[in-house]
Amino acid sequence: MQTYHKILTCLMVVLLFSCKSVLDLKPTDKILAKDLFGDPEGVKLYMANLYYQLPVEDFAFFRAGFNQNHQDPNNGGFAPAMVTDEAVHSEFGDFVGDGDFHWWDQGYKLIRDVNLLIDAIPTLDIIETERKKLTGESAFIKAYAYFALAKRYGGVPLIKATQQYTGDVEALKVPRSTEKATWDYVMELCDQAITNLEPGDGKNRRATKYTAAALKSRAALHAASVAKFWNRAPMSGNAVTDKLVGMTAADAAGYYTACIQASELIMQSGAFALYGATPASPEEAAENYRMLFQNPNGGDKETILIKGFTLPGNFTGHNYDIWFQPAQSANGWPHPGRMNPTLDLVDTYERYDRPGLASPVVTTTEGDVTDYGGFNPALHYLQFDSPNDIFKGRDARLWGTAILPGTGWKGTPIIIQAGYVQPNGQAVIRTKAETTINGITYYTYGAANTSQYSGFDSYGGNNTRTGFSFKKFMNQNAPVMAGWNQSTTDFIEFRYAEVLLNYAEAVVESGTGNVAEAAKALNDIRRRAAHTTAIPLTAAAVQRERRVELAFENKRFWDLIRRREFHTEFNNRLLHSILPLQDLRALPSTKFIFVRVVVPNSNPKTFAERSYYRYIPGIAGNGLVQNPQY
Amino acid sequence: MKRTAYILGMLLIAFSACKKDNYDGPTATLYGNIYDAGTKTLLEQDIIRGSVVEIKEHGWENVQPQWLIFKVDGAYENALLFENSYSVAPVRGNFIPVEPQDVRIAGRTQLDFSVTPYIRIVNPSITRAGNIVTATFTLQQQVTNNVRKIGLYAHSDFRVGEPLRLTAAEQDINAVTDPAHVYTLTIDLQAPNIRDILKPGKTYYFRIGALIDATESKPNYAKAVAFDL
Amino acid sequence: MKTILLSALVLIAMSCSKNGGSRGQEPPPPPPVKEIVYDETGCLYTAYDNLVMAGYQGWFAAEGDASERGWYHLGLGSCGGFKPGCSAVDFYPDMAEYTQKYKTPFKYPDGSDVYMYSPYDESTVDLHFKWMKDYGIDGVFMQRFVGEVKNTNPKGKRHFNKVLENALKAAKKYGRAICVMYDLSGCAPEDVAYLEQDWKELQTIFNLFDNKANPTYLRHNKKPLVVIWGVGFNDNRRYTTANVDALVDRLKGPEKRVSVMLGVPYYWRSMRNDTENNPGLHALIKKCDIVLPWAVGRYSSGNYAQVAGVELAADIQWCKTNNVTYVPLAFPGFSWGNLKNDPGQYNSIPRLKGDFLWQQVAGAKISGARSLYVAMFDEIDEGTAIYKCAREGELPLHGDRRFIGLDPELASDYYLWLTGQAGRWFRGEGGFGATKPVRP
Repeated sequence: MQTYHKILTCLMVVLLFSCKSVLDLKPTDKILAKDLFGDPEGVKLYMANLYYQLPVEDFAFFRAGFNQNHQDPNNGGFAPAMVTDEAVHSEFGDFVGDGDFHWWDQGYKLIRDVNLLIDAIPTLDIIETERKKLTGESAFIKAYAYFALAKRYGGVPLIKATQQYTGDVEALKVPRSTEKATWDYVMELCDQAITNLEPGDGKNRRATKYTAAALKSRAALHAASVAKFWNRAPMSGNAVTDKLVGMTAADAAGYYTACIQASELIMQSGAFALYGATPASPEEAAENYRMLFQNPNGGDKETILIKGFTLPGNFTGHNYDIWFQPAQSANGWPHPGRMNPTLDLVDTYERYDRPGLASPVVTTTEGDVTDYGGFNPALHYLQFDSPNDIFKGRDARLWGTAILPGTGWKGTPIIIQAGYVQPNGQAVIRTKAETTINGITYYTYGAANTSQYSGFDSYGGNNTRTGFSFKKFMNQNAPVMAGWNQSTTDFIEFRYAEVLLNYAEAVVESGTGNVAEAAKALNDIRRRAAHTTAIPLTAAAVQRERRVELAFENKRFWDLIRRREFHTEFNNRLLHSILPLQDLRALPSTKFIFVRVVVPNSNPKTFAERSYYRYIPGIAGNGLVQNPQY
Repeated sequence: MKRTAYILGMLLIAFSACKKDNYDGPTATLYGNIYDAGTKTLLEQDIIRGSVVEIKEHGWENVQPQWLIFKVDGAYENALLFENSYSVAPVRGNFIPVEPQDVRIAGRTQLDFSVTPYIRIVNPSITRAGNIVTATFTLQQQVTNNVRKIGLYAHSDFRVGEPLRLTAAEQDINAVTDPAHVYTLTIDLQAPNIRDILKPGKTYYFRIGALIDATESKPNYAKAVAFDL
Repeated sequence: MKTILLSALVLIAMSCSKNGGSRGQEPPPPPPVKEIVYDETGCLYTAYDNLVMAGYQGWFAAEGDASERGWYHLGLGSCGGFKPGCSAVDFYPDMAEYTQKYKTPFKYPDGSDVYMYSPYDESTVDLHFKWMKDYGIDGVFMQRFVGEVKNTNPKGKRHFNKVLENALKAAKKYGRAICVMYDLSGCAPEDVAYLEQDWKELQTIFNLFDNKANPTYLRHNKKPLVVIWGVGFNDNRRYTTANVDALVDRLKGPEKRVSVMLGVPYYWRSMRNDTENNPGLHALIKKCDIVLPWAVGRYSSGNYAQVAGVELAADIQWCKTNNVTYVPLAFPGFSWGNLKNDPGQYNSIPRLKGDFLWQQVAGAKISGARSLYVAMFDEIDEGTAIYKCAREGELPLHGDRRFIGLDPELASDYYLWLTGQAGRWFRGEGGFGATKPVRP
């Protein structure tokens, strides 16, 4: 209801000023709609504001919402990835809260704003091609907004045209449509955008025909998955009975087809390709992958829509570099190292010598990868010459996504060590200690003081507690600027790899479409990561590929939601770390062993099934049916 | 000192600014038990994420329901309710859904529920021999849905269950069960992931659970058994 | 909001005064009408309990039979009747044992003629009831579409009366339960009222309630049973639940002449999906003796447990609370590609060699049901028939359409046998469970 009040207030303000008979004074601090839309530059400005409002889950997207990049956006460095199995925070154990990730009032504000523009389009004095483009972009923005609402709330009130206030507040209240009708409306709007927009190359930061198709590909896959997998976590209550949430398995086919067709439009356009499609080595692949995210604008033909972070400062920069780089490269910023990729994610990356097979990191000759019981002197730990040799031969994208123990970053070896095993076989783990043997001093954390290492010391919450620090999106070229909103790395909202993965998933889950083409899509992405052996198209292979290819792009959360896997993946779920230990029993050789453990100081996480939908805010006022279990 | 006095002064002002509101506080209590209609025994529940009693206060449009939790033995009580009439039903539980009933809640109001559990755990036995804790039981399912999984759950708290456990031995079933089949689950107290969790010298509770594959279902249980390790 | 509160208070006040014992001030009750008592001596089926019965359409007619109705319910008007490339039916009966049969325009692949039976013939209905006895199916509900037996449709009425006559005779001969089941589909409100007249006629013509004349006519709660199917659906029927409620009152009368079984939509209890949201439906059900929810098409093997599991058990619980007998429905599969002129509808709910039927039999039993209604004995339009049907490879040619056959590795009587096994289980024999029995 708050939304309506805001809308009403705005509307009344507009109405007031449009009443010429009251006073012939014109306000000096407001622009009249006809003046704004009458000027192409005004339309451009207005459009920029609409794009700014788009709920893009970028570097400024956190639990509290979008565009969290002004003044002091201090959220402790808690990223959306940390409510999935991709990462844990170095200190916090928070999980999905009822108040997290909402977008309601802001959604209806954007929809009202875009509806106002749609009203104005026919009256604008512009050439037809420009009018068509505005029509297409408006539809794209509206589709994007309703997609963001549908995936959070299920079926929502569809405000298809600007509401006029005629003195009756009740008349402005629109009941929720069914979830199916809402998704169908998103599809319809995407189609309007696809029809009206011209093709483009993804270099400019406004929607093109292909951006709209990419949106449709993503949204249709979401809808199809909810329909197909609803029964994995069925719910009850009025919202279910009225079909405001939930769809039936029979609804899935149509959405999978929509996803396939939208993806094919992009794939067959020839306008897009994977960046660095055929690297000569895993090392080259890792660097290509890292570069794609450090500078999306150099991403060749892979990017379909980029959201820019243009300048350091309020509303224009972001905070990924300060929060998430390893402690050693903090450059004076007091709170680095918050993003800790999990062993669970690292285990997901393929090994080049085991294509298509699950290959969790093996640490002992006994080979039990489910043993998280801590260092056990009775086991035979595999010894390695370096703290990252154990990860050698694993998918290049791991090396491009995470900073592994002992690898270089900004010219410094990043030291991540959890302890050592003394020559007498006793392990000293996760306590600050040192021991001197034959005149050489060894430190549990791999170095003497807190500025020299990045792992496992609980000091300041600045060290990783999983054994991995964060690399993807980090700017390697510039030192960290110790202040708010200083990062300007751009965010890729749509890229070709996601479209290929959407396509592969739609084909394999629906059992329709071109299986050979879908298998090729899957293997093209693997080839870009330096895999040379193709694997068969399976549902599991597609999901693994999504997890590693799209890691930290804020896709995993929605994958778990739409496929109704969150409550089974997170049922008393503990996430895991790897402890690199120097094995001093091997002296004078330098050897490292690794122990798989539960993330230190962490608690099990359980996903409440009600969280498949957010609660509808303000039902006492807006009269809407609440979602189940709220 | 000056600073403390200032803070105290501010607090005083703050408090005196608040007049006690003149609405009555909640005075009514709703309590009772949930029984297995077949065996007339209390139906075991979970303390967290378990079945709940949903109450909707009458007289409001689009009212936000309240949910009262059960204790593990199947009893419930909430003493912070406003006197009024309510629609009441135990929901999202480990039993065949029942229709809500209208109840006037005033003073201490007792309301028992008689329901049919999704699954009865029959002849449960939990024994310990050395490091091995063994549970045996059969299942009588009361609905034709698949049994999703069975489990033996362990925790230092007596309210142990599927959601509240330190460790568990679970088995996926995903089928309609044969009432004659005897299920066996074991926990090895010396297993690598368990020996540091269930520690010698302490008391732990073990409880058998079985979960039906139905909308918003919760597990059914046998009574927990304690062992001093 | 105030109104609700007030009325709640009034209700409480009223209930208090009732408990308070102010009985003396209430008006004197009307003189009690004596409930009718029937002689049930010799009756074989005094309750729909521990029985597995089926629905019996009996609506087919053959060109050349005495009904003069042509290829009734076999042909399809939209494509020109009953001929290769055009039919209302997907399955085809196994014609081996029929003594009276009629040549059709169809041919088998070897060029030989294809024949069809007519239930207008006594010998045919006799054969069907013999099968019921042979395989252990307790009996059938004779379908009677109100729209087909109106006085404006004399041939229809004659047809259904003749089939019923044949069936009553055979039921007596083979000791099978039989019961009349009215279907209100397509009725106008005044047709609902007409049902009462038709029902009276049947009683007179066939002496239905006579324990000697019809010792196998199904009874329940000490009264002969009549079924009214089709109340509470939200598919915009012209008649209302109130119309049916009035009809039930008239059929029962103050002396409670009959017991009534109601055929209702699947989600009758929660009043959603296929069911109108009308509390009057529950009031009506409570007035009746048995409730039969229509499950055909509501699930398939894959989602049966998810859809039916809790629904079934909660239905049974509701009925126990409200003292109504509950009878669940089971059907072997579904196929109506020819009727709908849509090949996509062939085998739309696959039979899976009886797995699907047995899943429902076991589901009903596990959930605590005491009887079963199998849809249907002879329904080949929608492909739910359990009687002997032709198998794949033994089917007539069908132009650019096709017939659907039973799995060739099953015998043509497999579904009769399997339904018979359900009968044994429901009658109390042991050794049955969720796993489909293996035919020796």
